[in-house]
Amino acid sequence: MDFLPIQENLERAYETKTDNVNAFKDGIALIMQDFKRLLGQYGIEQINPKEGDSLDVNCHEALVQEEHPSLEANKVVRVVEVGYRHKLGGTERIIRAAKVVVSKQSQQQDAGDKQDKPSPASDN
Amino acid sequence: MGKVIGIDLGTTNSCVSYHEGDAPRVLENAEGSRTTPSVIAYTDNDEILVGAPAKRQGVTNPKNTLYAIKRLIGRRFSDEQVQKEIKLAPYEIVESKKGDAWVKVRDKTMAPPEISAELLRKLKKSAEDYFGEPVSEAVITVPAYFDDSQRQATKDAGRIAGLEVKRIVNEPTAAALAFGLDKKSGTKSGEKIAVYDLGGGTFDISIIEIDNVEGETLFEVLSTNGNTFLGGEDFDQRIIDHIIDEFKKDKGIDLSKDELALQRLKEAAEKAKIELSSTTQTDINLPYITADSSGPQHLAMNLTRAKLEGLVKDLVEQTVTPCGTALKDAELGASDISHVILVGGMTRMPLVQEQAKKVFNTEPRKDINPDEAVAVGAAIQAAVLQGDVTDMQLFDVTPLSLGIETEGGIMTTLIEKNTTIPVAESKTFSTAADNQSAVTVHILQGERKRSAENKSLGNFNLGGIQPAPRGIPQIEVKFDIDANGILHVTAVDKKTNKDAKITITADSGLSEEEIERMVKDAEENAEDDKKFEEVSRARNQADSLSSGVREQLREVGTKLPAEKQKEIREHCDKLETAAKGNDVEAIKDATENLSKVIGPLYEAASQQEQPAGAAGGGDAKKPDGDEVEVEVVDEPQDKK
Repeated sequence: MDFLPIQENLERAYETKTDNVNAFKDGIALIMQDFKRLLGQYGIEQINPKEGDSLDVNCHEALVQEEHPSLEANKVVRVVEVGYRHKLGGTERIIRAAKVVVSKQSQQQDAGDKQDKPSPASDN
Repeated sequence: MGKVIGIDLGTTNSCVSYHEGDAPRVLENAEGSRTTPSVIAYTDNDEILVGAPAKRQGVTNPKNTLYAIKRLIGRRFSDEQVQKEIKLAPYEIVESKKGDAWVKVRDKTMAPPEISAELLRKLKKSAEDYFGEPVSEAVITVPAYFDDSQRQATKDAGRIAGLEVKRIVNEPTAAALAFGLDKKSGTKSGEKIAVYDLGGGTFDISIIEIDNVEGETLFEVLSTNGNTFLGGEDFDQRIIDHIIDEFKKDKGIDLSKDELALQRLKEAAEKAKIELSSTTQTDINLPYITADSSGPQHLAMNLTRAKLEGLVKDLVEQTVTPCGTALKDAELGASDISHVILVGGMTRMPLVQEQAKKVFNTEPRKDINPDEAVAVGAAIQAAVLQGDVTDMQLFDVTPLSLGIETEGGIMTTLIEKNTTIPVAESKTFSTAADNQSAVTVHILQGERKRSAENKSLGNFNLGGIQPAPRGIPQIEVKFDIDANGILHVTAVDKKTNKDAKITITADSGLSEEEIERMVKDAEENAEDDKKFEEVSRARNQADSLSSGVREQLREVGTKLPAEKQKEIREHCDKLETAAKGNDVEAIKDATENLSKVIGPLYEAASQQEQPAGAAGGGDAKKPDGDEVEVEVVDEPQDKK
């Protein structure tokens, strides 16, 4: 039942006739906000890493690697699809890992940097 | 005896089960899944990832992400199967000093049992988390065609993982147990069962016979066949190719070059395949799959079951020949088969079920989850060993025939395959030439007539035979397999009573010292892993807290006195510095310190949020989980 208003609002949005893209997007943003709140009520949270976050294989899935001008290797370049986790009581389950594009190690820093820093993919 | 768990150590997925009360129960892993991908990864910082986390980082670390290790375990490097795998695997397969197939990971060569042990450890841990107590014993399943080396290597993997492997059980036998095809279900003695197992990457067909001998149930594998490179992934690929073709026709865009699009297609293809097992058509919708000069492009396609069946028909048909061969090898016709049971996720596909029905002319049984049947059967066997199930007894059997090489390079069998052990058999042989003074006893394992095509287990000489015409001396060769599966072979010259012998322990390719070192390494790794896990958890909490707080500072920080903002910022800095290090306590302290001072910030945020509902305006707020971040922040750190 909780989900029905979301569906109705999406239908309203779809039937709207307007050339004002911003106003239209504002409406969609509200629907998304409601939807997110609803998910929150069910203990479902989005996993939406930011650019530069370390790849955390416990909740991120690397889809492809891309070279990046400023990020070191194995950092999140962008999110292709957000993930979701379900929190219930003290337990937490990953419903779906966030699908991300990850930075690639550039040729220069290939070897030799194993020792001093906790390496890129260390975040789990 | 403690709790004995049942493990299906699969090529693509593994599963652990325990027989609790009256019924087997599949145990969930730490991620909450009932099956665990058989993937193990070794990361830059010496961390070992197992299962879904290992799979998720595969593209970033292909050379050190190992899968399908089961195709290598207990095999020689020169083995045809290994050579085939070398062409497919992105990781490096090397030859060990003894000629076995090993894997090279980060400049270190590793034996397959050592790698599989990581997977077993994870499954063991799933069970321990469930029971709240240590588990040290297991029943593990293997394909029926596994030879002694492969079985022994699987046992070694168990040992390295800290599990005493109480029994190795054939996968089809385990499946039959899971389907209750023992005496309880009224199966008649001598009934033949076909186990049709189409999983993620392999197809196996086994014909087994169930016998009731003096109240004991005996499962005998009559024949096996299959294709170790045919499975669900091939089906997915067909769908992906079809989508790419259609999209190209429709929009003129080739998605096959777009790695990111391909990843999304892969998932959508698998999802469509699964849905089409229960519906007759499905929609594949991938909005924003790509973009061209005209703007974003969406993929929207309808796929019917009939179309899917057309795409994969030949793959399903590839299972027919192995079934026929298995029947022929068992010297049976389809009409001799009284039950067909389906195992492996792909057997949920109606077309596959029809094919199995057509081949064996029997409605297949599909009432047990095909992904879990083998593990469930292993758990039933474990319960028998534990004494919880008493009305059934399974025997260890020799998986392959054992014998010696005789004149003309022919293998003469002493112990037939599927003989229950312990067992002793002897046969008398003679010399092949006049005045022959010594004989070589060459011990072989396998079902082929020509000895060269069977596996050599070892040989020894018996000398000092007195001169005599050929065929006169009598040499008695005795094969004796004890309860632990160790084979003792003795040859006695009956005239002089002179004897020579050899003891053959199934050789997995690993020496006792090597196994012990691996056991020790694994134990040490477990300690490190635990520490690492703790640091990572603390670090993750720290990251999400500080980024959430910074976000809030940006949004509503100005509502607080400058002093307060500064204080919060300083604590954020401290936390971020601590999170870069490896000191768990420091991270936890800094987390706690920060959470103590952020109350006013969140009050300000919640005041701001209430009227904000209607104001989404301006440049539409991105759905990037702001509120959610706040929740992440509030909760976890306070208990630590």
